[in-house]
Parts: sequence; C-alpha cells; structure tokens
Amino acid sequence: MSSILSVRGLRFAYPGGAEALRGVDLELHPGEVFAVVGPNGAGKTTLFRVLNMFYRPSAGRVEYRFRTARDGSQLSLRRRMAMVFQDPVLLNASVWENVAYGLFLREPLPGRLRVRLHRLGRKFHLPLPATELEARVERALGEVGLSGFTSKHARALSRGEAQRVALARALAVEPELLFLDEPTANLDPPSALLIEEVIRRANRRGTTVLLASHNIGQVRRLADRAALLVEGRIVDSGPVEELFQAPASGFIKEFVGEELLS
Amino acid sequence: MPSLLSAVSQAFSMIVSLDSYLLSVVGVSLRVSGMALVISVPLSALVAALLGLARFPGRNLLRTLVNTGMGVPSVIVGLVVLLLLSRSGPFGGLGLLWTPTAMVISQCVLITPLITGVMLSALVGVDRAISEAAHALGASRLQRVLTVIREARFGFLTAVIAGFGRAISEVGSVLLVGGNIVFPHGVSYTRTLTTAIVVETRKGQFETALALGIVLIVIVLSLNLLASRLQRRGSW
Amino acid sequence: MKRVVVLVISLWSLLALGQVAWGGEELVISTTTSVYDTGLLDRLNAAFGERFGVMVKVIAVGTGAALRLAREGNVDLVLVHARAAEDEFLRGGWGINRRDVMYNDFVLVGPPDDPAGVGGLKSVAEAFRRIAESRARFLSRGDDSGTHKRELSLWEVAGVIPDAPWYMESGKGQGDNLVQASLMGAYTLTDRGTFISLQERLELLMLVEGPLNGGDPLLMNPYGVIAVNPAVYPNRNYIMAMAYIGFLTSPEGQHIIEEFRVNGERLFVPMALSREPRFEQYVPQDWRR
Repeated sequence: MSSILSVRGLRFAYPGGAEALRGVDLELHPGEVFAVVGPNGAGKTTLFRVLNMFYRPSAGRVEYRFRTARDGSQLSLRRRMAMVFQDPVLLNASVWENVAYGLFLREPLPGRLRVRLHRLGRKFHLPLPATELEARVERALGEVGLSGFTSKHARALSRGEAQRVALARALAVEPELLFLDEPTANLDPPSALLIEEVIRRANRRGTTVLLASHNIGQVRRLADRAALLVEGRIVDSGPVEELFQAPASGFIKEFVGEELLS
Repeated sequence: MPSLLSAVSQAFSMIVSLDSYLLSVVGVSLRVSGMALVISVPLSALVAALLGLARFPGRNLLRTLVNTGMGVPSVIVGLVVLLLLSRSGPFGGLGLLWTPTAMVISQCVLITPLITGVMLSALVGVDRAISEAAHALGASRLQRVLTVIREARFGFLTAVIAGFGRAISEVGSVLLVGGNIVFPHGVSYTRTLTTAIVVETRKGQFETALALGIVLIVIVLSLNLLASRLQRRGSW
Repeated sequence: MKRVVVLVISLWSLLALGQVAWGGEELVISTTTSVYDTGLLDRLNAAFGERFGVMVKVIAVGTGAALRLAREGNVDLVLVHARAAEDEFLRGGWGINRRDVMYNDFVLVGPPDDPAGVGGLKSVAEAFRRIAESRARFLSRGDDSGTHKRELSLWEVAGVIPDAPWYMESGKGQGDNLVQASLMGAYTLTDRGTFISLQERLELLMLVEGPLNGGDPLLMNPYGVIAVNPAVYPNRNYIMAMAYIGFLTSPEGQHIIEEFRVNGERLFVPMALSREPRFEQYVPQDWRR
C-alpha cells in the first residue's frame, strides 16, 4: 500500500536540550485517520511540529507524497498540509477573515484584490457574484456549523466556537494531510463531539488525518490506526482495535487503563 | 480669568472667519509634520520589523538606541540638524537651512525613534502563536512576517498618531532649523502652530497664542478620536 | 536600610530648604530681552539686592509682552524701550512714575559683503531704501518688541513697504534673531548692546550707527522705567518698585550703568541725572494740560 507520509528513523533534539524524538518510524496511508497517543512530554507535539516543518529533523528522513503539490519545494508541500493546535489561535479580525486567511495566503495578488473588491462592492449593494474563495469560506463555515458567524469578531467567540473556526480555517484550504494536536483537550464534551463529527466528515471526503490525543474514547471513535509514543519512541502501533484489545507492551495497559480495554 | 474666555472666543472667531494667518500657519504645520510622517513611517516599520522579528548581532544595542532616541529633547535634535545644515556644516551646500525641508528632516529624526519604539512594542506584544499558526496554514516566511505586522496594526496606528502628535506639537527643533519665518501680510514660510504660539506669547498676545493652542489641540484630538474609532470598529 | 532612609530624608529636606530659603521680600520686573541679554541687569540687581535685602526676579520677554504682564498685574515694575507703547500704558492708568533711565542706540547690521552697499551711510532711511531696491534679505524680529516697532517706523520714514520674499520676520528675541540673520546672511536692526555682546560669534558687521557714536539720531533708543499703579493692583510691591526706580536713577545706579562694559565697549549712556528739568519723562510725550 502506498503511503502519503513516510517517516524513517526520525530524530530531533532542541538546541541545547535533550533529544525529544529518538528514531520514529511511521507510515501514513492516504485517507486514514492515524492517532498518536502517549503521556505528556512523550514528544507528540514535537513530532507534529517536525512533520509540519516547523523544525528540521536532526536525523532521519520524512517523505511527503502528495498528489496535488505543485513541486517538491518546502512551501508547496507545506501548503498541502494544515495544522490545528490544542488552543485556538485566531487573528484579531472577523470570523470571515480568519477562515479566509489560509486561502488568501495561497492566492496571488490579483485574486486577493478581486475578492476584496467584490466584498466592498456588495457592501454598497452592487450585484456581484461570490468568488470561488468566498464560496470556500462559506462552505468551511457551514461544515463547522457557524454559517451565521461571518461578520462576528474572533474575540467575541466562546472557546468551543473559536476552535471550530480554527478547524474551518484549516479545512478551507482543503489540505491532503491535516494535523490535529489535541484539538479537543480543553473543550467541553458537546463541543468536542461536534468537532469529532467535523473531522469524520472531512476524512470521508479524503483528507488524511494525523491526530494526537489523550482521549482513548476519541481515538477509538475516530482513528483507523494508532501508535503509542513514549519518550520519543514508538513503542507499539497497529489498527486501533487490535492495539487496544491485545497491547504488545504492558505500557499501553497502564496508559489506557483496564476499564477502557475491556 | 477673563482672558481664557476671550481666548476661546477669539479662537472660535479665527477659525470660522478662516483667518489667513491662521490658515497659513496651520498649512505649514500640517504639510511639514505630514511629510515627516510619510517619510518616517515606512522607515520605522522596517526598522521595527527587523528589530522585532529578526535576529542579528547588535540588535539589543539598536533597541537601546531606539529607546534612548524616544526621549531626546527636540532642541537637541534641532541643534544637530542646524549644525549639519548650516553653511559651514557638512550639508551646508544644499542650502536647506531655514526651509520647510529642514523642518521635515529634523522632525523625521525626532519621531522615527518614537514611532519605531511604539511599533516595536506592538510587534513584540503579538502572541508567538500567531506566527506559528500562520506557518501551520502554509504561510511563506514573508507572509508570516506580514501576518504578525497585520496583527500589530492597531499598535502601528497608535505609533503613527503618537508620531504625528509629537511632530506637530514640538517647538524646539522647528524653531531652530526653520527659523520661524513669516513673510509680510502674515504669510507663513516656516512658522508652525507651535512657533507661532511662542511668538504671540512674546508679543503679549496671549489670546491669539491660546487660540492657536486650541487649534493645535483640536487637530491632535480629532486624529486621536479617529484612531480610536478605527480601533473600536476593529474589522480592517 | 535605616541609613538610606536618613539619607533620603536629609536630601529631601535640603531640596525643600532650597525652595524656601528666601523668606524675604521680592520684586518682580518685566523687561526686554535686549536689556537682559547684555547682563546689565544682573549687575544692577546685585547692588540693589545688597542694599535693600530684596530678591529681584527678572522676566525677560518682548516689550509687548513685558507691558502686557504689567497691565495684568503680574509684575511690580517694567523697564522697556518703546516710548509710544509706554505712553499708552501710562494713559491707561496701569503705570505711574515713569523715569528716563538711560539710552543706547540701534544699529543696522548686515553681512560682511554688504550686497546693498549701505556701509558707512549717515542716514538709516537711505540704507533701508537701498536694501529694498537691491532686494537683499532683511530679517525683522516681527515680535512687537521695541526694536521691531522702531524698525517699522523706519521703513515708514524711508517710504518703503517691505515685501516678500526678501523681507522676513523671525518672531524671535534679539539674540536669537541676530544669530539667525548671521546664518542667513541677512540685514537686521538691533540694539547696540545685544550686538556687541554677541559680536564675536556673528558674521555680521555694524553698517549704520546711531547717536552713541555720532550717527543717525533716528536710531536713538531710550529706556524708561515705570512702576505698576498700586491703585489698580494694591497687592503689587509698590514700595520696593519705587525703591528700585530710585536706585536706578540715583548717582549710584547711574554710575553702574556708566561703567558697564561688554567686550570693552560701553553699551548704555545714563540719562536720569540732569540739572535741567526734563518734564517730558514723567508723562506721555504729547501730554498737555
């Protein structure tokens, strides 16, 4: 089976710090949801950041095999991925501006100006058609159930709403690979379930998802396969059900807890 | 105090009658400080972006320099510009002394550190996470910088307003390098609102001086009101 | 810690003491920059203060502002040189007991190359006409000061209406205006005293002189002293003001003025002592019974 992301012997150390990743191997299949679980400080966030090219690996190889990347350059590869953080980080602007942000990044100047002109024109009641970019923003907002929120300011949102906007912003660029770093860790259960549903739908449309999570229930609900990361190493991995039914290491028992395994 | 009241009424009547001396003085003030702003803002933004977002040796020294520059008295700036531009100075050949251009130069020197400093603190105040979110959504290095600058735009606006406020209300340097010149019939050449206030006070025309002061305050105040309105709307 | 507190308190009280150390009487004078810049007042005030135990505060502004400050009761005494404005001040009832104190003269100064060719002329009106004809730069003080008023009346005598761009106003005090004229290479009218005290630092030459050196009598510059009327402002220190006037016009004060030198040059001629009565000094010049 071909993979969309292939990681071999990945090592990473922060400058002047201890080694956070000590040889990670990982294969992501197109269209799957892959979960990385592990205790705090295991290196999940570091792994996501290296894979999303925040940091250059100290050693090892990462290969991206995107269908739609323009070329092999770092930027064009990065533009086929998107990441949502544990805490929503929104721009000091309206919800619309936030969701459109990623699209604007990818749009050449004439296109950006055209969108601005269209929006300005409609403000003065000119009968201008919605641009493709605007349509995508609408669609992404509809996806997370916040269609009526376009002109609301980002600061006026609840935490759950803000995270949904952050998710919509990532989905609007229609990434091939979506990194979700504990996206529901700080949310109330209803918001978390809403977001899970959005993730599921995005995945069904073909987005490959790499999910870091603490929540075993969430992993079982969403993920096809999972890996357990402990102290910068993957100690166990496999299809979710197998992994949690018959864990290879004693560690996963301890981590997951007896009651959830049964 | 009766003269305060009469000053207010004189200010009012000078404004509504579009007093030609007042208009020409206000015109010089706005032109000179506006020009200084036009030159200083892009320069300050560049320096602030470099100091706030890039890492290079000597950065802390430069930051200290900017912070020191924010507090330099305008007379000192004026004095240095005067020495540079005077006939025997290094740039004496340009013949810029006693012209509005000289005033623009000294105001630029005066306000660039201030604007840079305020912009810098706005940039530093932007959450690091914003820059990371930009990266995570596919921003190039330049786009990342621009995003952070855009996040700091209200701080930048404050910087611009503060810079203009300092420029239009400073006396020391424009008095020195502009020469406070007015042609017959009250046609200002290098006389600004502030230096006109000095002159009228010396003359004992306290009402006129205060009237000019009121005009100055109204200009600065309305700019600040405009700025805070823009900030409150918040969607630009 | 304790020592620091003691230190701070003693420093603070030292500062506070400095503020209130002068518990005695004070006299407030408003005068023109042209007198003050020469340093003559420091000399006179030191002698006066020694004799009467009074601290003299000097507010040096333009003549217009000096009289305005007096008119509003902010000073006890004015020492200025603009007879017409002084007369108006007297007529308004704000001031009383005017005395002539001294005189010096105005001089026309200009750049060493003298583009208008006025050097050595005996008539200042002729010099003004030549400046206007050659459109050489002239920097007026333009601040309603005594010097400015005299300059305006001289243009009138010369029959010239000064115009842009060669005629400019600086709105500055005498010293600043001279510095600026020097840097601009412009002609300007100044009192002799300020010019001499700044001469070394200026690139300006004395081109037309006044009566102090046998020149044009139109450039005569008399100084008068006037006490603020205690009937209008009873809270002003009238007694000390009169003492000051008395001192200035006494043989002692007049002697100090006589002996005062800057760069070896005499700046003022005392004129208060005279065997002949000179009634015109007490009242407005055109006053008739």
